[in-house]
Amino acid sequence: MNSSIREHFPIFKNNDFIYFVNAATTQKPRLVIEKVKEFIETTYANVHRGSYKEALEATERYEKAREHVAKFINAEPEQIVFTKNATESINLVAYGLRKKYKKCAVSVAEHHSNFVPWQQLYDFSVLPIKENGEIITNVKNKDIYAFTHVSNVIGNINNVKEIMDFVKEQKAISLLDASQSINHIKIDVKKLDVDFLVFSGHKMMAFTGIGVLYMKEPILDPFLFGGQMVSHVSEKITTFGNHPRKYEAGTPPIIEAISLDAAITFIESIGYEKMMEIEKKLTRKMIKGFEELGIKILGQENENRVPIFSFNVGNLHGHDVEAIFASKNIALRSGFHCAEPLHKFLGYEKGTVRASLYIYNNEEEIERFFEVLEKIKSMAEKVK
Amino acid sequence: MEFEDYERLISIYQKPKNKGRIENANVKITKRNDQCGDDVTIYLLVENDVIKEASFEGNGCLISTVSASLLLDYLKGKNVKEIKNIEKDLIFSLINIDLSRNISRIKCATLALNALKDHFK
Repeated sequence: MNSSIREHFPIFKNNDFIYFVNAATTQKPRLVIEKVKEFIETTYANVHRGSYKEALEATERYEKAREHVAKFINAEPEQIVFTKNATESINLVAYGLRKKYKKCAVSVAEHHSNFVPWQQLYDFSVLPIKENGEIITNVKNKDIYAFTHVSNVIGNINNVKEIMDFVKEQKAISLLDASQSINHIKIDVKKLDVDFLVFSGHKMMAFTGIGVLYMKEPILDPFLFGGQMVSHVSEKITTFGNHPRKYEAGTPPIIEAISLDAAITFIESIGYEKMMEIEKKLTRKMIKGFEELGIKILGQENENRVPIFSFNVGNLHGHDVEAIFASKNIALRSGFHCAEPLHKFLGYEKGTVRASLYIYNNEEEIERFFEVLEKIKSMAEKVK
Repeated sequence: MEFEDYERLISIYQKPKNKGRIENANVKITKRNDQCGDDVTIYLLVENDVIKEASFEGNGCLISTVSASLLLDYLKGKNVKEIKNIEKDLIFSLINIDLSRNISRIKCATLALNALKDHFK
């Protein structure tokens, strides 16, 4: 089925492990690795500085990466800020708005990265969710609403349009965390019509160390101060450069931006339609497997989700389940998955085990996963 | 760790020795693993610095439960002054699994030991 996609990932040639931790980070295709290698070996230099050939070329390629990201999500290049990761993007927005705005609400399903910054800096409220993960918009009159497109635990796809109708009624600012959606679903910021959108490169096959902030309007105060983001500096006063530069203090993640450029090229070469088709098949097989074993997964057992599945096995501790899978060369994650409020809200006091799949996973791997899960289930039955 | 290690741990975990509360205990120690929320409460009957009885309660994973169970077994009859010198390697040998490279699980294996060490500094 997707064997041809899998062949693009050298790690699977070198290693026969089953990698189901894709919601945490994704593997890197050869195209990304080789583009970065070629860049480093031929023209690596700092950007926006020298007039030597390599510096000009590096600057051009860094800015081309920005243009590519912009085009990819239907934005303009000056609306794209490169950061370290989605966490830094969210912090940039949270710090950048705090002089003008005081009240913020987020959903209880947020990853800690879209929860803690707001909790620490704002008059803070939490929106509940339904059991299927759907956000309940029952807190009115906030200045800012920050919410996730796809839950990193439940995997459900939120109805952004509906939530945005509510946010617009409140005349509030919106931030959408697309960290778990951009690698599965086509993102169009004009259609979504959010004020801010964030994601990380490493969850979409690029390197670690690159994140993106899309901003509809450059209304943020600068977050990090330093070189590159300034226009003039004197002993008494500093003036800042234009956006997006004024949000990118210091030497930016140049190599990482090149990797993101290549990762987007890779995604475009497959196409979201094909990716979704592969993932739907994987999702169906996963849901069927859980049903056959009578193991409940969080959220709804329908297809309005990306292939992220969180579960528990009897009374066994999640860490043990994860470790038993590890002993069979199957990589999962256990714990709260950086979403402790969500687990507590749904009554999973000790967390869950999570299997998250991606386009290079296949049905044989799912069969091996369920063979082991069945054994663990019979182990769990021995434990009260 | 191998799959068989877990099968062995499960068989100990089903009926762990020293699980429960001893009524005449004169030392009670509680500790929580902040990473996962697991907790352990240890009860000791100590006479003239010698551990006469030991038991534990708590909600924990296989590794933390089996480690606590076997550690308390080991400590019965020993002097509490020995506790501060016990290293995590002892736990690894008691449970017969080397977790030295597994940083997150070391915390599980040493939960009871660290509770005792905090108390008997």
